[in-house]
Amino acid sequence: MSIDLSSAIATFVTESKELLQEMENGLLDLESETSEEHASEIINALFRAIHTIKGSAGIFDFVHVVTLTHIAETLLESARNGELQLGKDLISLYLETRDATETLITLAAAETEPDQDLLNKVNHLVSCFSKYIEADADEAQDEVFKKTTSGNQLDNERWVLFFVPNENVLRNGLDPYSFIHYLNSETDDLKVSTWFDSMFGPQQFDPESNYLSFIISFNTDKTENDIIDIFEFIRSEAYIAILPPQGDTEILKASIQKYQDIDFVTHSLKEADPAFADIMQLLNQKEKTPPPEQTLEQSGAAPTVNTSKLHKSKTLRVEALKLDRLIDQVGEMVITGARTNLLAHETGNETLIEAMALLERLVENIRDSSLKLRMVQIGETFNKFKRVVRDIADELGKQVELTIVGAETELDKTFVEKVSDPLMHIVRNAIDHGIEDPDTRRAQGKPEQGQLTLKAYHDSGSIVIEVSDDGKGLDQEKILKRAIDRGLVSANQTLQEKDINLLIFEPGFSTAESITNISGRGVGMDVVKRNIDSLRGSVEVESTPGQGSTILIRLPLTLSIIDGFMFEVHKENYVIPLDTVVECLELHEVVSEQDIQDKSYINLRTEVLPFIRLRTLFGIEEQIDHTRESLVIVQFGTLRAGLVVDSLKGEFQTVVKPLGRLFEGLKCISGATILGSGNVAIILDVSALIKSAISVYEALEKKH
Amino acid sequence: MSDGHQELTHIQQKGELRYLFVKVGHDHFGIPIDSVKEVIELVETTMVPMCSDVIRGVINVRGSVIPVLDLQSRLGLKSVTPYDKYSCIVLYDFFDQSLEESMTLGMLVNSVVSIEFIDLNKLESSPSFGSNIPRHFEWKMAKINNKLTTLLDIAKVLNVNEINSTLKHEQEQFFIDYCQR
Repeated sequence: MSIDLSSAIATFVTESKELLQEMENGLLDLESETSEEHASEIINALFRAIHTIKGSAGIFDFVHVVTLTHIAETLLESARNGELQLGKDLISLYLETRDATETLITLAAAETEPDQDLLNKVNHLVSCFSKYIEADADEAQDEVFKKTTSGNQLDNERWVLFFVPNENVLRNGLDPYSFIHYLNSETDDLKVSTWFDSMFGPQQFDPESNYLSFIISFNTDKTENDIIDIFEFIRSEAYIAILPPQGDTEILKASIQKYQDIDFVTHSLKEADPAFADIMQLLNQKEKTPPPEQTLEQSGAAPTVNTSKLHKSKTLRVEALKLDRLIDQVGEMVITGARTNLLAHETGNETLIEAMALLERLVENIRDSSLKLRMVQIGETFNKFKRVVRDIADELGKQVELTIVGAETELDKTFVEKVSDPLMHIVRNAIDHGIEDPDTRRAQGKPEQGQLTLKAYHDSGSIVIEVSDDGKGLDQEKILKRAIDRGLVSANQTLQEKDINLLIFEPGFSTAESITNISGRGVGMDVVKRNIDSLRGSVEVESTPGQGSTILIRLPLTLSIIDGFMFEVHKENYVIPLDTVVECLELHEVVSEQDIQDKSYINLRTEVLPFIRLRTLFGIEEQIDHTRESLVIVQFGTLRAGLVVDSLKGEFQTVVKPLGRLFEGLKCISGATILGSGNVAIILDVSALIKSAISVYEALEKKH
Repeated sequence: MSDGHQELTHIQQKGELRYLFVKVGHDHFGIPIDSVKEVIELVETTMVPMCSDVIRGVINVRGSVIPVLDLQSRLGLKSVTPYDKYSCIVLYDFFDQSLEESMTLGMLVNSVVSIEFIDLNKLESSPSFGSNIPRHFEWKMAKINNKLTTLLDIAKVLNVNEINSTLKHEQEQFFIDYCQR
């Protein structure tokens, strides 16, 4: 019988990716973490992540993943117990492991065998881990001897061996019996007590699990090390403690805790050696001795700490499709609500209108909270860059510190996904071209460590993401020269500073003398511009030579529902986002008809305000009476302009419906909405409208 | 459902295809029926500003906004026949290979004529010249009631990428016209 595991595998892949991401963040935090308590918390989290991946990968038989994670987990276990410090080398090793694991999982899920390169890498990682583990094991062993020499001595005459194999030994191909059998052949007068009660526990019996634990006693003239060697292969999979004649009480105490049944221990010990007759007394003594932190296996992590830091799930995973459907439905509700409200007003029934107003408010609340479901904090995306910055800086031999500001700024999930790629290019560029190497920086009197800041905040109806560095800034002369060489601008053209800066976003543009594998091909920044444009955002560059540069990405807040402002042009309704509207005026009140016959600006309260007559722009020949026209003043960033429209319709809750592929890339049209009457209204993108007008005017001026 | 399925296999076995015939201008054209979602009467469309005549506008079909193409303009017919009460919008569902998403477009036609079975073996190639519509829009000619009728190559007629780039160009032209005024 075969079970279709494909959906389970898909879940495993997404879950593992999340865990790996968590792991990466943890590792990077660990590098800078000074507090020991936090560090142990992080290590625990790392351990959980690796362990979960290993476990799940085991279910699907992803052999390579299991091999790698298993050894990584083993080493981490020692770190968890405080026997090992995670230094920079080890963190790098774990980061590499994380990457390799991710690749392996992706390959395994696609049922592809990893290629030789990857296998070599995995083997290399495994051997690196083994080195650490061996070194660590030696230390641990030394500790065993140290422990045995201290403390009280017992008066037992026979050797006693405590042998508690892990639950998984059988699955890993180790049979505890064979070890005992071999021990029997090496020693004399072997007695074995076996505890098997846990087999009858509340959980279902699993034939592949090991439920047995043993207390073995024997006589021998071999050394303790010889005995330990017998169990060489199972040592990592079991608790083994040896109590030689006149052994240490500490070992006994530590070992007793490994057994779940005290009666069994006392009983078997009594049987093993008459000297243990006063076992109860020994155990009572234990209560007077210091707490169990001092025992061998548990030094470092106290069990109470572990339980309190169990992963608490704060989020609920919902399929994106379901969420979209919900928001669609809420959208429909808003539309129908508007229509019902219209009808209610027509009846003139006061009670009905009041009830409708209440209902409308409730619908609005539902709209707001359902939209918030789609909002995610940008912090998660920013955190990914910790790794990127670390890796690139290392590769280029630069020192860079990443500062993250405004990680809690929320933006739409679709934006988060699409903005991560452009950010990656900007960050790479900033480190490669912006920040100088330590020597140059020192020579210029700057601190050796470069600063890179990722910042997010809300600003007048849009979200701004800032990437700034304290590097050398843009070399405008060089950019201009390169642009002229490439024919992007003509030599006699005069460009403003900010326009020169924007040239770096031209496709194929690069001032780098040599192409590194990080940047210099001139592809990256072009991608930035294109991606941001497709989100209807804008990019600005500010740069001071020698001081560094800042790249500002401005994204619209646009979600599927916005507060809109509606007006009419030639019997068609148009909507613009309400937050772009500054004020509305009757055109004839601010300016006479003669004054704007042939010019497209007005003098509004001593301020010059250019305007666009939409009727003319849309190519409608027919004119209407000047006194009926209205002026809507809109603002986007620092741009302010007027739109001349036929009449104003007022505020309107707008469900943005995509116009689809056919109208994609049409700058001035950002979508459509369905009105209460069932008709469609076009949503205009005000900023694009004004910017297009400006650029066309400028282009025409240059021709003259 | 099962009837429809049986019918389909029946058609495939016989090498026949069903076509919806519509009147655009004064001519009849065939549209493969399997992707026609529905035919609705001509409703009031909302103009999309700064677009060429190819785009008649957008309409609301049960909550989704669907673009409507003016087929007379799209096929480049010289004389324009005004639309009347017999005019219909054919909603056509298709899967865009390059984008891997399905979309619905409306085609405004002067009227819907009939649904016919076309024998795949009795098709003739479109004339190498002399046709009143661009040749790449024509797929084959079929004989309906002893009259040769053009079957449209609908993938070319509804080439979204091509229309999209035309629209972008058009929009720029609107701005230039405005600024030059």
